[in-house]
Amino acid sequence: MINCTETRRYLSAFLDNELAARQSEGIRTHLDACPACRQEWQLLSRLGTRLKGIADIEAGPAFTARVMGRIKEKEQNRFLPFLTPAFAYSFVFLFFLVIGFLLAGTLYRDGQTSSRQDPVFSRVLLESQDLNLINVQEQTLALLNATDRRMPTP
Amino acid sequence: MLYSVDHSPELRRKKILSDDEVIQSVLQGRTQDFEILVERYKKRIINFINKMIYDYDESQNISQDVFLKVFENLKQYRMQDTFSAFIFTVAKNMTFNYLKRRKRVVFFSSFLSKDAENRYFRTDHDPASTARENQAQEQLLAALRQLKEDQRLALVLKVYNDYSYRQIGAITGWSVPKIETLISRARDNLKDIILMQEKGGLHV
Repeated sequence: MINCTETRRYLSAFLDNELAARQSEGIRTHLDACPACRQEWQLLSRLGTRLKGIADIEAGPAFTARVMGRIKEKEQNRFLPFLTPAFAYSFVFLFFLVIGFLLAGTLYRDGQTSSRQDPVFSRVLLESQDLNLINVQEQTLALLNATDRRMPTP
Repeated sequence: MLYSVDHSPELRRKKILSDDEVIQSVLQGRTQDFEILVERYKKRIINFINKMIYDYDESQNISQDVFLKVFENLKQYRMQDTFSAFIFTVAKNMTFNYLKRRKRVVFFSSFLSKDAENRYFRTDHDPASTARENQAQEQLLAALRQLKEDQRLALVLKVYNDYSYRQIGAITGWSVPKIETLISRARDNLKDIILMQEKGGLHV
């Protein structure tokens, strides 16, 4: 004989028709005899009815058309599977990374390149020194002369 | 008055094809046939998601993504499973992912505004909600919303989709005893609302 505790425990499964025939029969018999458990069963039944009474929503207009449109788009891009947003972001990132490296390299080279390696600038300095227009320090003068020797006369 | 009835072979074909036959057809290259599955399942999927997240617009968006995901993974669908379980599994996964994301957003937004959570549980755009003038129904919805996600999922699949515990198990990966416990607890949590309402009680 099924008691109240067991009935309460399996009442939900009983409502869902998930119990074996023998167990269901036991609970049914108990409900016939026990007003408190019967009240509980009625309450859960009412809850089920109320839950089912909550209104459904409808699919938005053109829902199917939108889904099929997106599928068609995907199908058209089937042969270009690498054209994903992730790929695009990676490509942009790599592009800027390369540009960054190139720019950094150029700036670094410029920093290394002093005026003494610039033939025109060296020549102007030396000419200016010769004409006593400016006063170039001795050390710089030596370097400029060294460069100047390597430099073809314009 | 004359009523025109469409007896076109295409329409008949759409109606009589089983889910598995439609899938075979799509896999053989008739992509357009996927529309049959969208038409068949859209309402159930949208309502399932809406009952889980309570956001009309997002339900529509996530449902679209579900169908797209199903289409992309159609080759992985094994005919021995039911397509219904397959699509609901995808819907369940995407819904849970969305809920996780929303929780994170709500968590971070809560630092900015105390009203953050309410903003992410919008019901104002839900046309069904505006039609729902019944205050009791609103209270029940609010209580359903407050259930733990796993309890809500099990209950929604049972009550609104009429799945057996075994079918719910196929969708969720949970055991039958666990599903039985979850649904029983969900009902226990909700029955107080009914009692309160019947006694002319207050809001939840």
